[in-house]
Amino acid sequence: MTPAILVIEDELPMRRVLRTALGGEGYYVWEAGTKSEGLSTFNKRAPQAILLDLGLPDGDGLDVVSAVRELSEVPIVVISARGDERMQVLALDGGANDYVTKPFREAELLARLRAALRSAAAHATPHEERLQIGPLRIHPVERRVYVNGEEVALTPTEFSLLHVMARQAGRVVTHRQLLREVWGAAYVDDTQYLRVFMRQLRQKLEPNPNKPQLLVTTPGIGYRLRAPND
Amino acid sequence: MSAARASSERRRAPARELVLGFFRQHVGFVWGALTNVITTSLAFWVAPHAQLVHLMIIHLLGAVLISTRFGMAVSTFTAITGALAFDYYCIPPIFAFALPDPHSVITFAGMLVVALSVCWLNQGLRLQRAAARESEARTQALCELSLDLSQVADRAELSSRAERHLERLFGPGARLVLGARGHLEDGFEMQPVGEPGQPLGYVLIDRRRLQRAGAGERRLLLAACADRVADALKRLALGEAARRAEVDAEMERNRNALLSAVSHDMKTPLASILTAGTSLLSASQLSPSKLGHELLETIVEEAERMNGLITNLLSVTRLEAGRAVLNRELEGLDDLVFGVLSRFSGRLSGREVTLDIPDALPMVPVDAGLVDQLLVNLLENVLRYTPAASPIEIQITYQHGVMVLNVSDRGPGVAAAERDKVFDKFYRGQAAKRNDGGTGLGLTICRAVARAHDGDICILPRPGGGSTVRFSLPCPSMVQADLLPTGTRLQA
Repeated sequence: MTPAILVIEDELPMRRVLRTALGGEGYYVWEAGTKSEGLSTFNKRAPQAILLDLGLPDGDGLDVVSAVRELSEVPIVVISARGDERMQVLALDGGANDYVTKPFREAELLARLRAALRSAAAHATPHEERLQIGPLRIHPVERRVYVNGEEVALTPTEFSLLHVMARQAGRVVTHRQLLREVWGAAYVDDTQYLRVFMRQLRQKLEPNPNKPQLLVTTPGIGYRLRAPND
Repeated sequence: MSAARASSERRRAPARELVLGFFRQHVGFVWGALTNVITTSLAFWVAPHAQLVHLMIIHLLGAVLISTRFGMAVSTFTAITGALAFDYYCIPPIFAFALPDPHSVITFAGMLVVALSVCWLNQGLRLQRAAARESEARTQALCELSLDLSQVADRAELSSRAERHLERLFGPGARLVLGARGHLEDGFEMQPVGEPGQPLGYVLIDRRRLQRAGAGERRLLLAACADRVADALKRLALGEAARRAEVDAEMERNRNALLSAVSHDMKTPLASILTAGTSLLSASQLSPSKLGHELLETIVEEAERMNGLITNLLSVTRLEAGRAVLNRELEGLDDLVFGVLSRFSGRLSGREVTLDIPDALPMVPVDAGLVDQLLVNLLENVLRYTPAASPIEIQITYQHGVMVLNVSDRGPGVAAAERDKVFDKFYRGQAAKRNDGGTGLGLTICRAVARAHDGDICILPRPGGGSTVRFSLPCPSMVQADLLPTGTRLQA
């Protein structure tokens, strides 16, 4: 079945470009130009993913995120202007799965969308499932991690951190999301914890920790575990 | 000289004027003489029915009355002539200046002493009263001047109003000359307005007006007037400066609003062009036509370049307008460097990138987006202006509360004369080629970002060739990463 994507974007030229690009990749595209139109199309058509522009004429894109999240876990990729890290973080913490900044290359958009669809599928699978991401293999039940077949010893916190990122491989995970899932809700503002452990993880997993290729920093937003086909 | 001129004027005046003038000047003595005539006549008339003491009191009364109205000279004159007349007409032998017995001597001397003492006392009182009147008048005049000057809107009006007051106070010819350079005119006295070192103007006063009686008082009044004029001038200047600053700020605001609106509106279509271009580019890989592919690549690359330019322009206007609200969060500077390096990994391939970053680097409260832009611009510059395959070194140090990031290259370096100028808006260094993709904004943004974080950025020559860009960031109160023993305290 071809996945149907709902594009909520007020700029007609951009919508046309997205329709062509997504159509070329074999996706079915529903279009909406406003927040209300977008929400009604979502209710009627039940798309497999949503591409959402944050700047809409009749309201905030963040409202769309929360309205959709009340009803479903459908992946949402947010499109926003550059330099809007605060909005991006709000959208991600509000339940959006990933974001792209305008202007973006087609390949980047498709990669984000694929990762979002994939992680939505992974979400349905239990946490115990073994994960293979590029050179990484993760065994959640035994809490073991292998890089290129070699086992790497991780502390329990390091493992939890990696596991959270691995389950959302290819997607950006915000600082708050990581802190909440690994340390708990009381620690969401303690970014320095995260940084210390992220450095340790890099030391253990990256071939060159000074040029991270797996655990990539997204300035002001969070970290991304790079999926092999990114 | 002025006295000579005054006397020649006096000679030319008609005789009648001369007589009148004499009377005006010596009216006191005339009054004194007249009073003595009246008191002597009165005393002479009542003499048969009165004692000598009563007659003396009549004379004394005249002298006292005169001393309340006129100065010391007139009073003394009246007292002495009165005493002489008393002696001549009242003290026997009458019609002779003689003092036959001790009683008469005492009466005569007593009268003279009393008359002179009263004159002297009255003189003091009169002077005090005059001084009080004078000072009241001066205060009133200054108040009126201040009040009048406080309502003026420009220098011309101030000048004309001030001159009206000065003429009233110091006579015709009093003038106000604005400007730091006054020139002394013949017969005029110059009073600087404002600080004597750098006057705002001068008040010119006819010198004769300051040489008459009460010159000291008038000089004080003149200085006070000059002070009031200086205050009014300063107030005007301040008002003008404030107005000019307001206009400047308004213009800057409009310019920035226009720039950011234009940039924003340009970015939207550009985003569509770029996505459409990349979309076509990937489609053209399926049905390759070399020419079409190259043209598409040009479209995409130029669209990206234009986008970079607009992004930089937007950032500069935001930062310079002071509108950029720093979204400060604790970040690791090394982490931000890693982020930029991994995004640049494609373009950096073939270059040796050396990192010198200490393990336990404290986190810094920065706006990650802005510092990221700074790092991107620094790397873009290195890639643009240094030979391909030349090495890059990135070093971070933390000492004495200052985090320092050095980005060093082995490029052509920056001439000493240009090291500061390259940070100016739209300035392009001598080494920059016309179409190398630079805009003259990259380093401007770097500096704006650094300064927005209370830090700074500079270019240093590098021993052995090339240059080092140094970004320093003061972080006085920081979270030490060392405080978190790695991997022990927070383990699940």
